[in-house]
Amino acid sequence: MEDFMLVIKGYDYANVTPETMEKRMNAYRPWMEKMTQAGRYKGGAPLEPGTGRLVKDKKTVLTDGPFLESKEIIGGYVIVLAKDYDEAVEFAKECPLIDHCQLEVRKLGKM
Amino acid sequence: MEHFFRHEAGRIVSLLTKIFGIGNLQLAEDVVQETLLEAFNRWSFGAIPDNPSAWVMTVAKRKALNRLKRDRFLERHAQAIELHLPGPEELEGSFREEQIGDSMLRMFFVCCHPSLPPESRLALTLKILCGFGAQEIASAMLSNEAAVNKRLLRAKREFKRRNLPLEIPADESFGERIKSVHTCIYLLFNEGYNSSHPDFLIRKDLCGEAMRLCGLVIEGFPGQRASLALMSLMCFHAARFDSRIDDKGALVIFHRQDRSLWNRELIRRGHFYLSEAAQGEALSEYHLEAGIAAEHCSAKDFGSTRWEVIDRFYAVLAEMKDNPIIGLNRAIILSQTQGPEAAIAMLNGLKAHPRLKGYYLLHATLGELYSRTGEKGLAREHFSAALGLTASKAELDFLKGKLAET
Repeated sequence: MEDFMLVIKGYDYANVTPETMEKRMNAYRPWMEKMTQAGRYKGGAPLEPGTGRLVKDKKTVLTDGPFLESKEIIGGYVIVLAKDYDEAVEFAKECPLIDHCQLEVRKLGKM
Repeated sequence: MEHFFRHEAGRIVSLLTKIFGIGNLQLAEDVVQETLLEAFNRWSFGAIPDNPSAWVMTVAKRKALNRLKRDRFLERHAQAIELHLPGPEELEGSFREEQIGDSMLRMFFVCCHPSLPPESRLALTLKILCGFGAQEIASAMLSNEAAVNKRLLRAKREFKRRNLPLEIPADESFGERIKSVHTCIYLLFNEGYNSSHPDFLIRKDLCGEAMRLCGLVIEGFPGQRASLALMSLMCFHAARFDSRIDDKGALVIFHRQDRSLWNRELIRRGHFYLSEAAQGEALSEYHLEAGIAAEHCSAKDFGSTRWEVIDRFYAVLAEMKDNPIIGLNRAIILSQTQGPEAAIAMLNGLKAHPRLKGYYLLHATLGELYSRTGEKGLAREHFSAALGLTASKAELDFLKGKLAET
C-alpha cells in the first residue's frame, strides 16, 4: 500500500450557492466516511478560498492573482491509501469531488 | 439538516441587514457567502459542530466585526463616510437568536415593498430569505440567470436609492403591505404547485418555502386571519401534491387521483388553520379558496364532492375579484351538476375574455366537454388549440393522449 495525493483542481468557489454547498457536502462526507472505515482515507483539507501568495524568486512576490487559469487553481487535497496508481485512479473516479472539479493523482515520495 | 445552508443564509442576511441597514445588503450577502463557504469547507473535511447554526452565527459575527473595523479604518483615512455603522458594543447585542425571526419578518416586508414590480418581489424573497442563487431562481421561475441578476440588482439599487428602513410599516400602509406579502407567498406557492417546471424537486422546494414564510408571518402577526387562511389553503393543496403526478411523471387528472395518497397530516393541518382563520370578521379570497380546497379534501371520492357548496364559495370569490378563471372553474362545476351542455354554453360566453383567449386550460376543458357530448370534431379542434398553448411536457403528453382517443 502506498499513499496517494488527490490534488483538487479547478474548484469553482465563485458560483457555489448555499444549496449546492449542502449537496456537495452531503455527497462528499459519506464517501470520506466509507473510505475511512475501509482504512483507505488518510486525510485531506481544503485550501482557503481567495488569493494566495506566489513567491517567484527572492524579490518577486505576487499577491494579485489569479496567477493561473482557473482550472489550474488548487482547491485542496485528499490523501488515500491505495495498492497502485490504478486503484488510486479508481478512488478518484468514485470520489464525489470529481463531479465538479478535476483530481490530479500523485504518488507521495518515500521518506 | 435539509436546506440548512440556504435557510441559514436567509436568517443571517436578514439579521446583518437589520444591523447594517438596507443600503448594505450586498455587504451582508458577502459576509454570509464567506461564512457559509467556510462552514462548507470545514464540515466537508472535518467534524460538524454540535450546534451548526450557532457556529455559523458566531463566524458571521466575527466577519462582520472585522469588516466593521476595516471600514472604520477606511473612514478615518478617506473621509468618505458612506456607511453609518453601529459601534461594536451595539453590534454585539444585536446578534441574539431572538432577533432573527424579527429581522426576517422585516426583511420580508421590505422585499414586498410596493415600489418593486411583483416579479422582483418574488425574486428578492427567493434570493434573500430563501437563500437561492440567481441560477436556481431562474430555473424555478423559468427565466434566465442574466435576467434574474438584472432584476435583483435593480431592486437593490432601488432599496439604496430610497434608503428604506428595515421596518414593518406601523401606519395605515401596513394593510397594503401585508397584502403584498400574502400575494408573494401565494405566487411562490403557485409557482411550485402549478408551474410546468420539469424538475419536481424544485417545485416541492418552492411550495415548502412558501409555507415556511407563511409560518413566519403567522408567528409575527397571529391576529391576521388572512395569513391563517393562506396557510390552510397551502396545506390542502400540498396534501395532494404527490397524487398529481404518476410514477412515470405524467399528469393525473383530478377525478382519477388516488385519494389514499393524499397526505392526512397536511389535511388535518389545513382544517386546523381554516378554523383558526374563521375566528373573526375578516373574509379574504384565501378563506374562500381554502374553503374550496377543504371541500375537495373532505370528499370521500370524486362522486361525493359537494359541488353546490364549492360553487357558493366561487360565487363569493367572483364578487371579490374579477378573474375569468373563476368562471372557468364554475363552468367545470356546472358540467358536474347539470351536464356538459350547460358548461359549454357558459364557456362560450367567456371565450372572448382577453385573459382566457390564450389559456390552454380553457381549450382543454372545452375539448373534454365536447368529447362528453360526442362532438368529436369540436373536441379535436379544442385539444389541438390547447396543444399550441402550453410548453409543459406533462401537459403536452396529456393532450396528445386525449387527441389520440378522440
